Amino acid sequence: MTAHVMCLTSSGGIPLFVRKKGNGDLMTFSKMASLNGIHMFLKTHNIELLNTDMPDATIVWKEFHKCIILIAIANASTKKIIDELLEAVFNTMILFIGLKDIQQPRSVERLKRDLRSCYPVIDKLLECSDIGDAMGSKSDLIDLTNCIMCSENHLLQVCLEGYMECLESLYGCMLIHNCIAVATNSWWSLDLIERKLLMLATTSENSSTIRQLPIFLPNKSPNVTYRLVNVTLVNNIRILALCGPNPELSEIEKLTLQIWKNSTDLLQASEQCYPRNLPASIILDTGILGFLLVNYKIGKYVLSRNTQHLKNFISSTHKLDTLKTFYNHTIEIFLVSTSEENKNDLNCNKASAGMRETYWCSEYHKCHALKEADHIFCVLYSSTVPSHTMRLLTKKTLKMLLSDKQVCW
Amino acid sequence: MSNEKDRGDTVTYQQNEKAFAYTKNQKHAADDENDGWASDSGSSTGSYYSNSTGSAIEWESEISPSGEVFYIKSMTEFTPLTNNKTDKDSQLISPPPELTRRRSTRTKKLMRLIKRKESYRHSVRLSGLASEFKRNHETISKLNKERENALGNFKMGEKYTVNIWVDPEKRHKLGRRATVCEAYLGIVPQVASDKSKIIVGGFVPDGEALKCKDIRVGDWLQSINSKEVTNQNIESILTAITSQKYILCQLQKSVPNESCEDLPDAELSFPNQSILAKQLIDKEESRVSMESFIKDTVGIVCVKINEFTDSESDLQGVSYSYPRSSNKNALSFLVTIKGAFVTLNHMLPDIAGPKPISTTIKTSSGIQNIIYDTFGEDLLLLCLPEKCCDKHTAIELLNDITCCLSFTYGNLSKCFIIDDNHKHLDHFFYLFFSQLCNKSKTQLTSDDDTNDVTNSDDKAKMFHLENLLPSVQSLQLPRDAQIQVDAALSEMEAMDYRDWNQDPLECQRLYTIIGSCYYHRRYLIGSHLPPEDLKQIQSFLRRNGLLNLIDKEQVKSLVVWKRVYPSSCLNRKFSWNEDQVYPLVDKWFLLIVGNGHDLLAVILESGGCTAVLAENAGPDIFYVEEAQETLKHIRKIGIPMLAEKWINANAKPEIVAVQKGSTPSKASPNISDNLMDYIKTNQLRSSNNMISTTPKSSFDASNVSKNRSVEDARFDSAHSFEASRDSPSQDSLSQVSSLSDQTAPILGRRATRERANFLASKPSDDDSDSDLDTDQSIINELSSIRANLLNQAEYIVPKIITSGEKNSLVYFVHIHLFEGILISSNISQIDREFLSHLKSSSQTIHRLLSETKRYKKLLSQDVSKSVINKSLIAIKEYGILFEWENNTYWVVGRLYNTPQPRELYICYQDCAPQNLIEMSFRLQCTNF
Repeated sequence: MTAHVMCLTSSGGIPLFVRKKGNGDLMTFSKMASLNGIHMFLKTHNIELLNTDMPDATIVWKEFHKCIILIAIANASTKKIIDELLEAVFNTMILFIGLKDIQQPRSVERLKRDLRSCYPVIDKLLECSDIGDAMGSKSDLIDLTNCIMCSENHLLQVCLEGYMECLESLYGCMLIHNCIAVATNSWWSLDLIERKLLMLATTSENSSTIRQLPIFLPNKSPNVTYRLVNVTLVNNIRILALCGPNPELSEIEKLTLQIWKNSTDLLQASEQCYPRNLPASIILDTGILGFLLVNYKIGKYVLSRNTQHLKNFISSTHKLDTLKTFYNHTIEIFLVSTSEENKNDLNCNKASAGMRETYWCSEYHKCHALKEADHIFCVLYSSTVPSHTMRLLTKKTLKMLLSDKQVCW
Repeated sequence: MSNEKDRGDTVTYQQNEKAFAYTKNQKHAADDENDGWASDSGSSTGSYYSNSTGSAIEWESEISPSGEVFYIKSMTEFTPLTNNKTDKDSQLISPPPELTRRRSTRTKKLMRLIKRKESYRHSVRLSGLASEFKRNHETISKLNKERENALGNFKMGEKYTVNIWVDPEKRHKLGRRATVCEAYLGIVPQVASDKSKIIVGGFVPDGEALKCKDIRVGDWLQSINSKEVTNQNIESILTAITSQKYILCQLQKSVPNESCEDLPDAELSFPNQSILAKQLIDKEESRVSMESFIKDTVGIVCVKINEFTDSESDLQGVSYSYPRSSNKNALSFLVTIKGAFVTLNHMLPDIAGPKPISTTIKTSSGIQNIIYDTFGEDLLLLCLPEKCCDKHTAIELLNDITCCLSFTYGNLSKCFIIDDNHKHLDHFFYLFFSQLCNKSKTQLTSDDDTNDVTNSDDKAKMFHLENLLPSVQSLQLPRDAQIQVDAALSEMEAMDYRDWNQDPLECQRLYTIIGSCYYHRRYLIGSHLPPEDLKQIQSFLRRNGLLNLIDKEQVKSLVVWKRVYPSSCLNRKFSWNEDQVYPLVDKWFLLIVGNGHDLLAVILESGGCTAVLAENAGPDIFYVEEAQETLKHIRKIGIPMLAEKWINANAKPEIVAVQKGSTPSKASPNISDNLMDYIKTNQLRSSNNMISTTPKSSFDASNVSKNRSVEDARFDSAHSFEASRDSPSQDSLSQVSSLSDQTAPILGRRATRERANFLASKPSDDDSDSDLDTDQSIINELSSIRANLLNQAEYIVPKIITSGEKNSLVYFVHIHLFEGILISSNISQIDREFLSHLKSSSQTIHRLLSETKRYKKLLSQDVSKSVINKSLIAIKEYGILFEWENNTYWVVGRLYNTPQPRELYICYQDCAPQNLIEMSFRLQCTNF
């Protein structure tokens, strides 16, 4: 299971960076040059090379803003993921150095050096790609915001909004174990990939309690920097805020103390939801091993595993990986209409719009997914659950999760 | 007796199949299927009995220098009384003298076999009358033939006059139904396409016209006693003759075919072929239209990897490309950019393991997929636009192409390197691409809307799961029928010609038959072939458009003879060569014969004990005729009719129709109503059997005339069956009422109706007259077998395989991967939009399941565990629920690994939970 991402300049074919995840050799420059050369050759014929499939891997070429070529090779289960990965990688580059510097770099060497700051985020993105091999400790999806459902969320929301007012910012969110517990409405209005990258950009360092980072917003402001403030409240609970030049970092520190001092109990209680990512009050059926609840309109998800089964299941990460793979296949069916390739085919559009449920039965487990309104709900069951019971349980559980007002889903 | 005589005449007339309308009411059961071979029907009395008259083998002219034949003659789809002259003339090619033929007396042999199995009745009714007819008929056919052969000597459209003796007293000699023209002149008239010209369609035995040596079939009767003759006034002109006298008839010769053949116009060189058949044969058009593809982003290229260097000309290393232009500078899209893919193919194994499968590119005209296939030192690239078909379909298509090409040429490198093959390949790929892109000359010129709809409809079906997989769609008939088919095939395969030939000692056999298979429409009914060969034959038939042709329309005659390389034999040869048993010089040939909607494919082997073949030996007529006889026999015992019923029966298992705006879970046809019907049929069956021992009784003339009205109302067999299902009241009521007064006539009526249906579905049946000349006992045997088989199909009990109160099954495909056979429901009645849902779902499922299979294989080989997505390994069932017109439907795919790998895809209405294992089990049971 390997994933490579290569970045070259469009005009000269000069390699800017290569990142790799998983075992396997690092890509040599000659191979990179050949891959790029094929793309260039076809470009001279007014043909855009999109991708090449191999039995287990896919190569995707993509040119951005006529200045950067990204090439990815991955053993991902679907092509869509690699497309998203490349998109995310390029946005990461913008996030750190801005679009202008990428389009008109003062020197290639300098651009190369600047891009080094992106490496941690790119590595994390590579981890997100569904390569069916639990490399990272956490399963994550590239295009969706990771959330956590806490019973205290409604209280936390109030606190967060108050805090944001003090910081004179509209954009803020609270992360528990790198999952969003609550966020301001404006934060949800940010682009999907921006949300994702902002979260990834800050998780890497959690040594200090308060930090700030100049960032560009890939869609909102690719050329003007913002200040991303990262405040660690208690262990594993952080607040992210996008601020203007004011207030000063020291001032923020003071404000934080003032506002959150009284809510430590609340914070610690909500932290208990991890790793189940669900309030303790919600009890899942014993047949359910885990679930993935996605709101594809907003672009957020909750990934939960039923802790009752930790002992008798292969491994919990594998379990979540299965769900992730299942989800990736499921959205292929459910949401094909959104991908541009099939737009010309009217029938195909209609067909995908009509898909409502899907399931897998394998030797070891069963998966069932249900699409209802804006939600896609994928549930992993043990193999002993009969298929038709699965449908009932899925519907029941989804109803239960959505009707709970306290979690502020 | 008069009936008997009448019948005899009828049969004789049928040497011209266009006399059909006239005779159809008088045909008896055994004749129905006798739409024999064009070669036999017109000119000789066929090989059903042994006669030495050498007939013209119509496909002889199609033998290529390499000894291969690809001959199709489509059933002309005119209204029964139309001009048929060009059709007739095309048979006038006189046989090259060097072809020797051994006539078989195969029927007797077959009959012996049948008798062995069913010894319960035997009747010989070969009356002196019949033999007289036979004699009479032989002379006529001989005359006909001689004349037809001589026709080439005449100039085009020459006019001539003849004197014909007319005796008004003979008016009723031929029976009431004979027309005046037949009675007076001895000419069976036909009306030309302009509805007024009278064309000589055939001759009445002992008729006056026969005595005039000049008149030939196809000539235009212009005037009688210098009065112009039309269809409208011929009656009156002839009836005006009251005394015996000579009349002066002026006729005009028809245009002999030979003179047209040199003309480049395809319309002329393939007279009366249907568009579909013309496309398959016409190699000229493929050459012309190749140029039109050159600007499109479609194509196929074969590149030698080793010889490939990027600096040289664009054609460097290209051993074959389609399309290509005579103009050197106009290169096809794929040739210009092939370098990119060759490089990728070369480089990727170093980077990411295995060879690439496909590449997607975007051009100004949209997204294109390029599919790779490497074999040895060569790389085959196929480029198809996404709007034609998606990537996965394209991959399946390329697989099918390579399968077909390796079957026909041994291996792919050889096939592309040899220049002589290029012409065939051009045609092959022309068919392929024009099918895909809806771009053929005929379709371009006729830009009417309906055509377009059917085209895209066809395309949708073509890409449906069952038409893409390397499996054959099969149809399981009732066991008795299956046994009959198997027996017929075995009999042919045994090729035990010692019994058929008077002096067998001198001839060493030329071929051994490896196996054969029989298709009705696109359904495989019987196969005696190894699975791998069957798959190859299937892809050969599919890619050469034969399957489509036979499914869509009736062919009058189809003969294909081709050297092939069946994989099972090649593998055997290789393993033997390795073991150095002894060097083998084997050649294999594929023989396909077809008639109507039926097709028989045979693989013959030359080598081992057989006589050594001359280089480029053409097909041996004996073997071709054997195959034709076998097919004829199968047709005679009513297998096609039974199959037709079976296909349309919607009973094995029963399928629910999905309709727009239907209420949830539409009730399946009421079983209880049908049950009554069923019981009745069962009661009837006993009496039925009794009656069938006296074969003609149920079809005697009185009965026939009584039911004329039924016959006139031309039911489509499928239609009538469905009608009886959908409105059980109508059918079962009539049953009840008729049951109350008498039993036997119902049978007659029913049987007649069935027969009428069958006739109606084949409007231009070519009826051979051979039964007259065959032993009457054989007719009896055959018709009783036939009656027996068809009785079984009289009522087919619908099987329901879904659980729950109501039947909810909409569609199913069951694939035996090992045997390369699949059974599936008929998709022609399913709504198009629904079908596209179905298609996309089933393809998604199929893809995932094939991934799973591949992983499983990888795991067992333990090659590289690291590339496997563990979550995908053990999936065995995959279901998708979709909503359509306020109903929800499940499409579920399931994989079985034991005992043999199988896949099952089912679509059912979402009402009761279903268990796929149970369903699969029930599905298996329905076929036995």
